[in-house]
Amino acid sequence: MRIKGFKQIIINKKTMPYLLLLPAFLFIGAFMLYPIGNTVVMSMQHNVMIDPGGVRFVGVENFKTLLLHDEVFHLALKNSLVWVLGNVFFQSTLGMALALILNQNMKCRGFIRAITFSPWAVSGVIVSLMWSFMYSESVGVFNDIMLKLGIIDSRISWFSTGSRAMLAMIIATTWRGIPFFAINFLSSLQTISEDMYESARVDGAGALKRFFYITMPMMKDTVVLTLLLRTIWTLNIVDIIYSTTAGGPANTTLTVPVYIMNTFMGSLDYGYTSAMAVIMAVIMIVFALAFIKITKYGKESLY
Amino acid sequence: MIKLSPKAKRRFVGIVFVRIPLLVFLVIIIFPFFWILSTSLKEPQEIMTSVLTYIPKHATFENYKKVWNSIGFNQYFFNSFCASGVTVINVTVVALLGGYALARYQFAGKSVVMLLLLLTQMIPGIILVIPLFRVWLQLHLNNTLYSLILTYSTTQLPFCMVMMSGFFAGLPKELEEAAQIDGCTLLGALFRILIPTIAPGIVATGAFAFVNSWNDLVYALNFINNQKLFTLPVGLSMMKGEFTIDYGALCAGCIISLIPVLLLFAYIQKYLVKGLAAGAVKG
Amino acid sequence: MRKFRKQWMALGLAVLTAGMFMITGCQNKGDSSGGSTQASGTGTGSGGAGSTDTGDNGAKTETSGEPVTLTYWHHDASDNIVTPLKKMIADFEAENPDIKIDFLALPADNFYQKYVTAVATNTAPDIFGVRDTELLALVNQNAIISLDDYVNQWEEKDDIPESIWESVNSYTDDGRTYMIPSYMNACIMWYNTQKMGELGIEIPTTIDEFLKDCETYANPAENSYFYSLRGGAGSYDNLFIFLMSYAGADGFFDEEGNCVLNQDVFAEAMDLYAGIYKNGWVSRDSVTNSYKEMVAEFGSGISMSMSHNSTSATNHQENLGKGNFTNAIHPSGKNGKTAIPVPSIIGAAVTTQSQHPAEAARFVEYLASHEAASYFCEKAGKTPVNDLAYQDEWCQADPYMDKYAELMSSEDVVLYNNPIWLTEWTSFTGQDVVADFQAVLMGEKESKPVLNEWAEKLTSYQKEYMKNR
Repeated sequence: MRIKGFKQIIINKKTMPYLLLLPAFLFIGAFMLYPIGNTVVMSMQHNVMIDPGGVRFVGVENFKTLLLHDEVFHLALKNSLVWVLGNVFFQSTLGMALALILNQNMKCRGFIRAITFSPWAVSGVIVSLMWSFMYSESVGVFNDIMLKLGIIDSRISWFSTGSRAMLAMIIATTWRGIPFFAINFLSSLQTISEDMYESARVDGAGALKRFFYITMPMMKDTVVLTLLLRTIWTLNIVDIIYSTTAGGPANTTLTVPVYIMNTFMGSLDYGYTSAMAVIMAVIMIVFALAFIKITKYGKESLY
Repeated sequence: MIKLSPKAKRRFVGIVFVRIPLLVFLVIIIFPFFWILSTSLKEPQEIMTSVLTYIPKHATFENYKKVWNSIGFNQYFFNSFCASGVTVINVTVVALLGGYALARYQFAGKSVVMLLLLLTQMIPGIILVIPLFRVWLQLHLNNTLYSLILTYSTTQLPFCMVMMSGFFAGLPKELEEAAQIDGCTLLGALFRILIPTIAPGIVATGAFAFVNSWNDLVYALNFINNQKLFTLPVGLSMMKGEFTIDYGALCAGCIISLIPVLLLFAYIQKYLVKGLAAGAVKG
Repeated sequence: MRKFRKQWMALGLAVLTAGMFMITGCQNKGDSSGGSTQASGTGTGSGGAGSTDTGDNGAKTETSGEPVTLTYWHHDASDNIVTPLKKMIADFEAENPDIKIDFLALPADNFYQKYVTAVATNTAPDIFGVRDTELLALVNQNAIISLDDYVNQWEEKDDIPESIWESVNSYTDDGRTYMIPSYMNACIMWYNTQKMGELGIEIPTTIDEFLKDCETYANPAENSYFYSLRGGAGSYDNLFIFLMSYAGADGFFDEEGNCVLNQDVFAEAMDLYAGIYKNGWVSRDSVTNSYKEMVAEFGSGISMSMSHNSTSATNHQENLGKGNFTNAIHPSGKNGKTAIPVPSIIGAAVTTQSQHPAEAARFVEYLASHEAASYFCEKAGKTPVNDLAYQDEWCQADPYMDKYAELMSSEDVVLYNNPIWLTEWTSFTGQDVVADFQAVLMGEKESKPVLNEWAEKLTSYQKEYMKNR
């Protein structure tokens, strides 16, 4: 009677998580392991594609050059920081506000939600081209409207300075990114049962108190994850920057992935760009670890 | 000070804090689309002018005709749909299982797992393209939609798994325990109780996984050599020539590719509602 | 209870497999003849019968009489390019029943990425459409073969001027011919004659006149300027044309390989050119303007002139309407001469990985032949390199073509060579020039130090190049 069946040995509480994760790791192991490993290996090589015979191992030389001598890379890191902070801050706060609004009952709810989702559904190609068209100093519609409404009295050139260009692109990316936060926060809000709010109301808690003591804690995990993911994704955005300013003027809007793109397409230096990608990944890992620790994610509801 | 009745106060709050901000948001979100729609109905000379018109003077469907017929959009559409659709199915199934494991179990190597998942999102596509292509070459899957499906499944998986685990983690343990007391297996409880409860989350995550795959350009461009298998983003970028850019056709293409996605979302968004499993714990 | 779980697992797998099968169905519908690989419908993706290794070169088995299938990738997918190409291909197939062409048009912005991926993974097609800017890199990646043998036997070889062949051969280190040219882009100025006519402005012929016009007709309040300055991507040609014309130079280097840009006259020229922006004579956006913004300004009538090349004629026609614009040679410098770069030459090349180089070379020759190239240039708005094409009716009737002929033969025009033979040229013009010039425009850097830096870099590259020859 105490002899465990074969199945019980394989499938029990200890092995369950690994079994459940198996399909996912089959995918990732089969398809991502080689590319990522390849990237790490190449980051330690001198590997320029227009010099196929000259591939050789150089250890940490690429990293040394990047971290110590490449001023453009340092600038790109700084710009990336600004880019990510600006984007994530605006997108998350506005997304949260929008989610709270959409959580209410209203007419045509489905229609409004579909509209809210739409910026995310537009292809990056279109977003880049159309927004740079709309921002154009001379033929752009934004300047036109602001002039006509009297908000400004001379046309703004959005792309002539780094800070304005950065702001312009952050606005465009925020427009695109709000749905991500809004819809995810909304779905998380929907799983909070109404009873909790009821009892809080009965206890006399106002709307703000309800938000901070019930809504936020219940949503915490979703919020943390959404922020983390969106931060990583935002860091990797290339299309809109490449297509409007290509990192200019004078590298003031150059973020790391755009620098990687420019360098790769310009000199086909696979080794150097891989090293950049590795540095970026390491920074993000450190950030992710710190973020998870600080927000104490996932410390509840465990077996 | 006017004393408002509670009902009137409610309405006031409703208007100021809900309706007006909503209106502002909607205007901000819709305006670029309005402009894209307007441009798609204009003739080239009306697009490139210093005196902008908001309602086209001579509206024309020429751009739409051009895009649909000569450029072969319907084929690109279909391909995108296939690739993204199958991706979502794959990813949802796998991510649910994995997400549950991440949420409910504390096991050795858990943080490593999380980091590994996030790591796949951190490297820019352009660096991964060539080695990934070699993988597909080995499997004889290059130049097929399979390569795209598997790529998207792999790249969207971490995101979906992480999100699912977040949703699961937000549910009280009592739910499964109650179900198991009632005689369900763990996985039975998973599928019958937990999943319906977090259905809004699954819908949202699935929608994003769909759209992320729908909008990918780097992999679709590099893995496919057969024009009949190109996806929408590739088709759209084909409209920008070296020295020509047809804004009208581009906008028409955008509108065409947007409509089904929105319709789809409008349909599934009805699952983004409260209380699908309300009362699961009570009683 | 176990069965229950099994059922769910089975359902999940079934859904997955069903999905994959669905795709096989999609696959079969979306397939084209020859040259595409498909996995047989097992759903697991392992190679089945009927899949080929390289994935792209068709016709693995050919007996005599069976058509050879060649894959051809072109670097622009816009409508006005693809339509004539498709007709040309159909004509070629009709004349050459033993060859079939599998044509793929790629987006102009990312085609090079795809070329690189294909070359690196051994899946390249038979024929690449190539431009001069990528030629050296492709040769260095061992991607394309030398066409000397084929060209020497080509009957239309002499219809293309010697200077063009010289240019083509100068792009690479070994002086061999790696592409057969079909058309060229000659740098030219475009003027909005309608608007200029209204204001009574004549086309400026000297730099002094040009600068004066920029100053006089700059009207920011009315959103109207004389010129569209290109400060963003691709700015190098416009900049160097101005510098070289002003200084009366004929090239970047002297005989020893020293770059001449560090001479004071160039700093003077750059100050004048940057001054156009700094004095507010062009839009503020100009510092990041790339081609599409420049053409938007010109096409909407906001600026009255822009410096570009022969290909934008169709664009202007669409935006401004026929007869409202014209082209002219760039304004001349102090010595009365204009310096412009040797025209950019575009053609096709045969890849190293091609299994049928002889047939591929035949197709490449066809693309450059008088009949085909002339047809293409007419429909796509390009400038031909084939002398005979200039005698064709459409060319004679085209109002802009005679300027290019004038450009190539005039004594007041000096053609200088962009040093495309340097491997660093692409990244130099793409990154250094753009970023530094923008810094000068914004007043963050001064012309002289920037030019000195450029001269230093170019000298070192050139000396390195000369050493290795």
